Amino acid sequence: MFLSSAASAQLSRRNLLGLGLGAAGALGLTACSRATGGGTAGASGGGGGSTVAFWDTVWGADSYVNRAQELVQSYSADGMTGAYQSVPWASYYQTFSSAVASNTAPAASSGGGYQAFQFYAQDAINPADNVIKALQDGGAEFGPGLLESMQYDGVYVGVPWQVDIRVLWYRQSLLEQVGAAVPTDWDTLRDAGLKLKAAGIQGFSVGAGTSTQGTQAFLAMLINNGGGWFDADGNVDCITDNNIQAVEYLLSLAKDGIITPAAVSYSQDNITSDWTTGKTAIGFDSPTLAQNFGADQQEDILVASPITGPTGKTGTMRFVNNLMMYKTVDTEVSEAFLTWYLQNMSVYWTEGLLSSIPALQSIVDTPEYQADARAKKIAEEWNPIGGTYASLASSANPAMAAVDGGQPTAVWAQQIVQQSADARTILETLQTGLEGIVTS
Amino acid sequence: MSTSGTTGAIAPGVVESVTRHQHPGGDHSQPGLPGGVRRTSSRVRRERITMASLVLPSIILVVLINAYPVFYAAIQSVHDGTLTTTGDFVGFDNFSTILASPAFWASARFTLVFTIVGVFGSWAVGLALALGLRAGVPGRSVFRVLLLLPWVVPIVVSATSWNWLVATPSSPVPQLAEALGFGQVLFLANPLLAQITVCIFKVWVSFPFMLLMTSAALESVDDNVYQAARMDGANRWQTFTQITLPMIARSTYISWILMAIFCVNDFPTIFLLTGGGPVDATTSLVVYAYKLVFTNFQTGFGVAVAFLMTVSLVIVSTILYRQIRKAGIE
Repeated sequence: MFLSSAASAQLSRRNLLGLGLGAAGALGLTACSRATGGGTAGASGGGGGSTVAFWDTVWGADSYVNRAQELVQSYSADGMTGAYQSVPWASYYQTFSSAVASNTAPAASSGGGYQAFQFYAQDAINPADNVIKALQDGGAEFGPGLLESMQYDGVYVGVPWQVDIRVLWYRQSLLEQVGAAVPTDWDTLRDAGLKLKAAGIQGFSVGAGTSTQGTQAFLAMLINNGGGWFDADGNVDCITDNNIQAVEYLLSLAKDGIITPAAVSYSQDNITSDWTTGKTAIGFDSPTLAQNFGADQQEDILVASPITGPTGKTGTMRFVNNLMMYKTVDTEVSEAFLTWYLQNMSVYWTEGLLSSIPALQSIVDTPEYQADARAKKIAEEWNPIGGTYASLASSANPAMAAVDGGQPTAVWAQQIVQQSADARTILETLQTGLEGIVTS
Repeated sequence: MSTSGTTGAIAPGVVESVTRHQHPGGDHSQPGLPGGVRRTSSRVRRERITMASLVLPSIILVVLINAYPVFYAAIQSVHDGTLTTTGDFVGFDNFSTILASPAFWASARFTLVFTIVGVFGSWAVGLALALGLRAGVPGRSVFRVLLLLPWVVPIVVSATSWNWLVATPSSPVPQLAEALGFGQVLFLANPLLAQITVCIFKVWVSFPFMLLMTSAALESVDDNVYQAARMDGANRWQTFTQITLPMIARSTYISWILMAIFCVNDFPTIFLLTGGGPVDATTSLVVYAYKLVFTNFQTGFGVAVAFLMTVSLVIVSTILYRQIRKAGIE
């Protein structure tokens, strides 16, 4: 009826079309005006001056995020102010990759431990040599091996700012309950595990489902025995005597029930729940583990000294978390901001907002940090023996980003928990899987 | 009936024109046949242009939103790039590598099982509940709302709840199984049990959709048909198989197709509960594609898997729709 009627209806159609075109035009103009606004990406101009955007993955509770925002927004230099953007860990890599691909990356950011290597190889970020030199000229001293771990292709691809390390935790009351001693080597670890198992308690915490803790704990044991996934030249090298010995040991823990078979599907919540409810007594975990316990349990959850492997070596795995600078803004702008940020980030530890190890020795030396016995022990005893996914190599490479949380390492951990094959076969599967993602 | 959707707008003009042609003297407002036909044709043309103009913005929008990603994905599937770089052209190497991969076929097998169980399991539960509610259960409006909860609750919450129920040896369901004498049952640790658990979880999440679809279809069945069947001596089973199922067949087939698409593309149900494990036992094609792209950074391989999935879905959907039309199900 509407379509077949007369002149007035024709006029309505024209009006309608005109209205549609007008609306489309208005939307287009709006989109264009927004596109030129720049948001918080990179360094952007605006009515009130320019901003330097800093994107930060969520390293702590809300109190950390709020403090980080406050800190970044207090930045002011050469008419530039800081703009903070918190980036959730869920899909963080997609967030950064999309920003790089669309040239809307921030001036600087934190992020995944190996993100800087990959982005540097993709020509998305600048070297951090000038920032490190400026900090060192100002008297800054980095923790052991941290700067070396950030070297790639003759430059520093990022600036270390904190270390997330896997250390051996234990519940003192549970060990006392079963009459076990704090482990000092693999034999005493097994002894304690067997006693705990007899009491229905896990003697080696593992989460190999949606959690990556199991993979990291097992790698910590490989490194503890002088092994790892990569050789000194950075090549995949899983099938070594030290690794076979370590995986055989882990398989025996699984066989004896010291590692629960349910761990193959454990999430981080499951791991935490077992720790806090007294179902787990020993295990490798991050320095943040104690935060999950109530105030009345804080005296009971303790950090052991590094254990010694059968080869007589010690070691564990760590992430050297770093800050990187993108090519979306002038190098001088991002370098000035990052230097300032690192010189002022001590508040995260002096105010008790982070449990990780600060990369700068000056922060480790603060009275507030030294007052925390667990943190002090982790920094003094565990940090010097920490190795990255690169294992025997002193520095990482872009391929590590795919190794971090990748499918082959997750399957590796699950195969150990399930005892699905002998140690050599499991390591051969890992070797093939890692070669597939490292070389592709 | 079936043509009304696409040609309904121009049908009045066409019908008018044909009518005038057959009865030239019928329209006294027109001075003569040739002029009237010309005016009518002109009006039809104007109406077509108007229709096209109205539809054009939507078509442009759909093309922009859908075609560009598809086109870009097609490019990625024949390159060995990353999330930020296109990489080198490798032809169909990604597809041949993927098709030769045992992991791909294992994922395809699980996807098939997951889809079949998801579609028919949720349909059976949804149909049973819809028939129960239709039978006049007291407080059925309350039940109807309660039964929608699995679908309404965010999948993250559901997955977390199910994880709490079954994941650890001290979770309620394993504890119950142990108390009943089944020993220590680890629902997510055993590959087969994990597959079964994920499939049951999918049925639980999806049956409210089937319940809604089936309830709507059942509402359209006239009660007189059932009364007539009863008068003819049909028992309940005969009524169900000979009347109910045929009369809701069209809605059923469509809901199967939709649910099949939902199942094949379902990522969160699996990923949040098991992460695709243990040892990839519950890795479906979409989870496999995700892992390839976002954890292994093998974008070309991952997109190739997504393309193969899409092509398979299009083929299956087309075949099913043709079957529906061929069978003349209304």
